[in-house]
Amino acid sequence: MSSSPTGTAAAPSTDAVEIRVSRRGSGPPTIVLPGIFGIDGRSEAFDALADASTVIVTTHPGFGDSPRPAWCDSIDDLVLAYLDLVEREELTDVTLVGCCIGGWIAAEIAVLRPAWLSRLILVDSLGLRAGGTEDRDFADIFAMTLAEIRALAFVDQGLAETHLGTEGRPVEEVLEIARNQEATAVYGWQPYLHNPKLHRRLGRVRVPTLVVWGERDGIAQPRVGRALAEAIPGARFASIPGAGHLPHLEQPSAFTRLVRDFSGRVEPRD
Amino acid sequence: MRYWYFSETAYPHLPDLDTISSLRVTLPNGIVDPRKAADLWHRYIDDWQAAEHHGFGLMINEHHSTATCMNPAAPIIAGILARCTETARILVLGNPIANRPDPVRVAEEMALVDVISRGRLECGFVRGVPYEISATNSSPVAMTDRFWEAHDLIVKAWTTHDGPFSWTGRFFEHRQVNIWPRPYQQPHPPLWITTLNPSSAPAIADRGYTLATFMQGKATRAIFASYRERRAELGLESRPDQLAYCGLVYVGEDDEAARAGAERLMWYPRTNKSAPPFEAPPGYMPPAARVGTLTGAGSPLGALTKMSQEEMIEEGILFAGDPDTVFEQLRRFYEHVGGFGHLILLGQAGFLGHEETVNSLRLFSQEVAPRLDELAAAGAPATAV
Repeated sequence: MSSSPTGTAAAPSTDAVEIRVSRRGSGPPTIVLPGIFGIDGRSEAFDALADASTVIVTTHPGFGDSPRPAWCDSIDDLVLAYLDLVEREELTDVTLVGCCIGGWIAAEIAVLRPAWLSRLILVDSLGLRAGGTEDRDFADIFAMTLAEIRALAFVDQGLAETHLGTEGRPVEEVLEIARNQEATAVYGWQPYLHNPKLHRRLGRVRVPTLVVWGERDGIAQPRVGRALAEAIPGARFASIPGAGHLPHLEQPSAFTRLVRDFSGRVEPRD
Repeated sequence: MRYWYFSETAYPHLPDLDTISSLRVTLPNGIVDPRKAADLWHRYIDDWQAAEHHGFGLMINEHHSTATCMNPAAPIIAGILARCTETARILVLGNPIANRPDPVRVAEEMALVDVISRGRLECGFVRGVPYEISATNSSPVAMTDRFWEAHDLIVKAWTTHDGPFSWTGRFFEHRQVNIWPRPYQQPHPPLWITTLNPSSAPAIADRGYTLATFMQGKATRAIFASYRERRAELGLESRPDQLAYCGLVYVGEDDEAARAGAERLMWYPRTNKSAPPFEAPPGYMPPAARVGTLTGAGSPLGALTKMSQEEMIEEGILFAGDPDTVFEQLRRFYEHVGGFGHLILLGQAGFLGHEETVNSLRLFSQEVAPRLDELAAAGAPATAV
């Protein structure tokens, strides 16, 4: 896996957004927009999918060790940065996989109907509210310890510890967890992890869409996934047992099967 | 030297602390008996009236969703004190302007208190402790920028007298700002800003406002030094009344009585329990400073809750004893930090009753304050940077 900054070459000013990406495999591009924990790229599922496509996993500005210019503080800013990235690289026939906050960004991109987008896969996505005024569609992660967040995000607490535990973890990696949390607060404090306008706009999406949800996701309620599938014309909803907020990490085989089945059944748009 | 009496106006009738995870944010208000709360509030106002009688200025603060402080609306209590006191200065320390969604409203409230009190208001602005963000759902990101924009807007609202002005800032937008009434004091009430670290002091020094710091003990020296150094850099003088310190103070007839009173005052640090996520929300401090919280290395409040009376006295957080002892403790602290012009006495906490509270204030006023005044009149201590 190679890791390289993208998007800086043509940047006219020093405070341009820089999106870091890592690539594996070859073939039509699959862009993976990661979630708030920034660990999605570690999934074996994306290794498997790399046998038939170029899997490009991004890091959103402000997450991990990637820089974020102070002005870049909304999901809109990220959507435009990703449009710039794909246009600059002249990618076509793109499958866009969005996990968690990446799903929110991916859904907003799909609403804009870019010509390069062929398929949309939303995984335990943020961005849409489904419950009533007093329902918590998304857990209040800013009022929780990391241990409480791990308990809600994973079914397998051993795996949770491996990916998000702090015990024995080098301080630079804990610092990245802290940066991820701050970036999440920057982009999603209020309205909390959603765009109130998104529901009405999702009807514009024209690409084949798969919505995947961990059956026991305690971070983003499964009703959000069902509401996404209902709001996007023709979208399918699939639930993965034995998984929380990151089904691609907890059940990579089931996740890979679902994605391959979806990609094989639908005709990519020309 | 000016002296201020301060109570956090707690609701102390709580279940066993071991059964409570946090006194902040999540403690159900079903615990409150409204009749007891009413009795307490009447009594706390009596305390302030007695403090006025003994020559103190009156300081009030504001917190939300907590038993440690039953005052979620400092302007309301300031308004009450404005009418039921006669001469005392009233210090609101302070308005959490990085959290208040509408700074113009803050300008209006403070102008109103200033008018009712006929110009006795001293107006403080605070960034607010981390667990205060929930009350207004305000983002902990970029709070310092929001704080200063709110400050600029409030001062502009106080000092504009020729009709509406327009404000389009990064955080706040108004098209017709024109507050009524305007402040009694001209151009506006004296301003105070709190800080707990030296790095925030220069921005306060730039404006010459009074910097107040709370229970920082020996670390206060570096905070005050940072203020003075910045003033010197700008070629401006530093006056003692630009620096304020707040500590726990209890004066008794003898050391033994004082220690007993101080023990009751210690309810404040000892009961200050809060849940870790509310102590360090993302964005409130730089990510590097949050690493310790994430690894469970301990809460910033932790140290204070576990300190003994002796340790707190040694550190300069608690001043307790008979008048001679308290003067000696304060003299040592005053010299260590290079002097200051305002002493805020956190003189009531928990179950400390009206009589005990006022007795300590009386002793302080009669037997400690005159000696401190003499000390202050002798000029800045040699340790002043």
